[in-house]
Amino acid sequence: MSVSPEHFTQASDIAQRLQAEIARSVVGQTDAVRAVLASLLAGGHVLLEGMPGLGKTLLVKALAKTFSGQFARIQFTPDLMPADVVGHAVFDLKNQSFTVRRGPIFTHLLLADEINRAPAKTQSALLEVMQERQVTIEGESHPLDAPYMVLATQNPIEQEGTYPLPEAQLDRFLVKVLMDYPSAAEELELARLTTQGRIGDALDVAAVNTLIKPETVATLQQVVAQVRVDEQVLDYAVRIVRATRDWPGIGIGAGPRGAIALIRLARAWAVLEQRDFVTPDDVKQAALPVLRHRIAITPEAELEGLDADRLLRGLLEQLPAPRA
Amino acid sequence: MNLDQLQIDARPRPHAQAIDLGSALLREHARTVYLTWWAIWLPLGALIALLSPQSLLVWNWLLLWWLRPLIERSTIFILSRAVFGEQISVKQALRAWPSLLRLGWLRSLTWWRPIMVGRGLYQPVWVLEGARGELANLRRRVLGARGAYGSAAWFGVICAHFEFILQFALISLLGIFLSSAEQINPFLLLQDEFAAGRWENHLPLLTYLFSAGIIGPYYAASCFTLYLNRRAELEGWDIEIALRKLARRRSSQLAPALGKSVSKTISKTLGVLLAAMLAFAFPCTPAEAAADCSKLARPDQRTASRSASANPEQARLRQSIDQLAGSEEFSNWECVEGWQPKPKKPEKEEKDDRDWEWLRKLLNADGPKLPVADILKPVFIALLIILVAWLIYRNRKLLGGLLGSDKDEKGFVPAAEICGLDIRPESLPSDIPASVLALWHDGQHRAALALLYRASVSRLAHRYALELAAGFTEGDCLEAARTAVRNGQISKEAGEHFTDLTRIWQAAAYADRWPEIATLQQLCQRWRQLHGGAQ
Repeated sequence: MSVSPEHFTQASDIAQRLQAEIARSVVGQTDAVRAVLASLLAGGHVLLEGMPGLGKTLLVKALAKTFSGQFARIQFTPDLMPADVVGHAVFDLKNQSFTVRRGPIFTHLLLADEINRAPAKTQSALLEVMQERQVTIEGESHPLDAPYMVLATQNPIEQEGTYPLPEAQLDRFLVKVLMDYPSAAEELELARLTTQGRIGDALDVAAVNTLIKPETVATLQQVVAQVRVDEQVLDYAVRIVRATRDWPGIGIGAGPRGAIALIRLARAWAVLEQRDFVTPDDVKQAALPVLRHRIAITPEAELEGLDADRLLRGLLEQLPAPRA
Repeated sequence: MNLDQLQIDARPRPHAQAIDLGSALLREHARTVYLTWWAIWLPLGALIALLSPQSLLVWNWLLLWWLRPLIERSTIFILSRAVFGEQISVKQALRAWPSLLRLGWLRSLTWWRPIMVGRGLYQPVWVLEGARGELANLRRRVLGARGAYGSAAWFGVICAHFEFILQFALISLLGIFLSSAEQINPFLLLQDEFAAGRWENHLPLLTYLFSAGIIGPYYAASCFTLYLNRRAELEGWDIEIALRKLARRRSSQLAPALGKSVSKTISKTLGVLLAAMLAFAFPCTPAEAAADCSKLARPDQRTASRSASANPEQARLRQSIDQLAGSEEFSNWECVEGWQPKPKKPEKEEKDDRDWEWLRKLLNADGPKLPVADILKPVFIALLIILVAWLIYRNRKLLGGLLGSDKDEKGFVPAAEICGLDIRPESLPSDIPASVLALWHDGQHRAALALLYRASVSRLAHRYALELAAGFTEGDCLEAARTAVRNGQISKEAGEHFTDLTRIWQAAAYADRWPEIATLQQLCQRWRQLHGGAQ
């Protein structure tokens, strides 16, 4: 399927407007908003990491409202069972038959809060659904409505009593977005907005307007998939991923899925930049969110105080950009 | 002191074994030693805690450290009785402690003595022998000889390390628990963070109290056995004990047969033997050994070697010879004293000699003379220089950061290649716009645009000294140019031109979207206005 330049312009405009609309409710966190929106356009799932109270839930609610999508939130706890997430079959006495009670996973945007607090069995159930985009209950498959996106959150502190996600499962997330504290000006604006004429501290996304329908998101995703990627850019993405495998300080590099994710996100990034082709800059910008959870740094590097972001930045600085 | 009652095997031991004997002795009497120590230690610590001003609470444990030699005396007292079989109770030890303090307490706390790491070896000189002044100095010199003080000092250093580790571990542990969950600080106790009057202020003292309360008795006990060992070595305790045992055994065997008087005689004989052996063991000084010349008998070998005279003639001759020999000229006798080096001891094992003979020949001047040292010296110096150079090279970034040398100061070296394009000025043609247009008209659109783009990047890097790294993408170069415009490094027009050129170049390079010739001509024209045509 080829997309006309007009369609690209239209898609790009919508993406821009979606970003602006979310920003009306989510103060600051520009990079996080952009990465989450790009992931939605690329059809990927997001792992959000940040301290509590930085607006993770607000971001997801605002995003859901922009395309009138359904939004569900599951607070992961150590006693959460797979059936609590995906749903289960119950026997209906009136009809004398089993009926399927769908779990909260049947939604457009699912916020899996503190995913690392649930045991591996429940995590696996969710991650399987993320991969297959369908749920099997009592042997019957139930496809999930498009667009479907999981935003799982992790708390960087309080690792006590958690079940860290294994590398293989982390790979299922297209990006890992780090949400940092807002700047002083942003925090001031945030305090003003959330306290003026409000009762309690409930998150309010009233300021966010619905711009599109869920079906339009699916169309946008198709447009993003058509963004042109030159061979050199493709080669650059693959070279970045391959370089992570023998880069000093990186113990385990990213797998082939890393390069695929890099290109997917770079495409969405290009659309947000109002371009219908991917440049090496898009790949470079996508590299950090896409690769930071796909690599494992060596204990020596960890002892030296290095982290995945710093190592990847060093790699990107030294890896030659594509040859023209 | 009755050596018969000695509870330890008083043979001369290596110093390490003697120190180890102290730990065995302490294990045996740990309860009394530790209880006595803590019974003094705790109230002393509490007193210091109460009397210390608020500002010194972090460091008041140093006062406790200073007073520690006085507490060590209780351990020495208990163990000195214990080695002779006398069991001291905690109460007795505590009662005796004030009297122990009188034995040179000021001496223990002044001058260099509190900081002397091997002081444990000398404590018994003051506490048990009661020596003072010059006598104490002499005793210290004798006891500390043959590496004994060195061993005590090293042991003191080791104990100090253990104490420090224990104290620091406690400080860190308490710091971790007492600091807030958001900011865990193991050094909290050392930073005087608590308000006045808070109990946490006394924790540094408590940590020292605990660590020194564990290691302190161990140090005192081990140094005490080192002292005992040195005395056993000097005074031949083992020989004395062995002879006493022998005497007892012999007397018990002979007593029934010969009666008491004989056994007494044997005992006396053995006593004399013991004295003789001790004299042998401790030979007198050279001054004592050399007899006075005036007391020496004059050698008169002539008379000694004569046979009996056979006839009167011979007797007469001998008489005249003796007369002559007795005259003053022949009676000069001189006694000369002097020092002579002892003959060298033969090598221990001839076998070893044979094994290393080849090496000795090689290195010795007597053998084939090789300039080994002359060769090795420059080699080692060269290796050292190489090592230092390599370390500097390896840590050049760190050193650069530490010395605060900026790239500007060192002279920034621009990158030779950006986005795979050679941007060195010498790689560019002299008239760039003309060359670009010529390539375009020749149908080499990509080459034409690439030339214009790399010429622009080359200008940024070499003329305007923008720091462009090899890994920079087009977007990074553009961002650097925008920053340069903001900083006034390049003109606004040049910035705009580079922005337009980058957009066109990206569309061409990654989307095969080529500009119109008019657009290219315009770009070339603007380039010429900004940078001039020729190099």
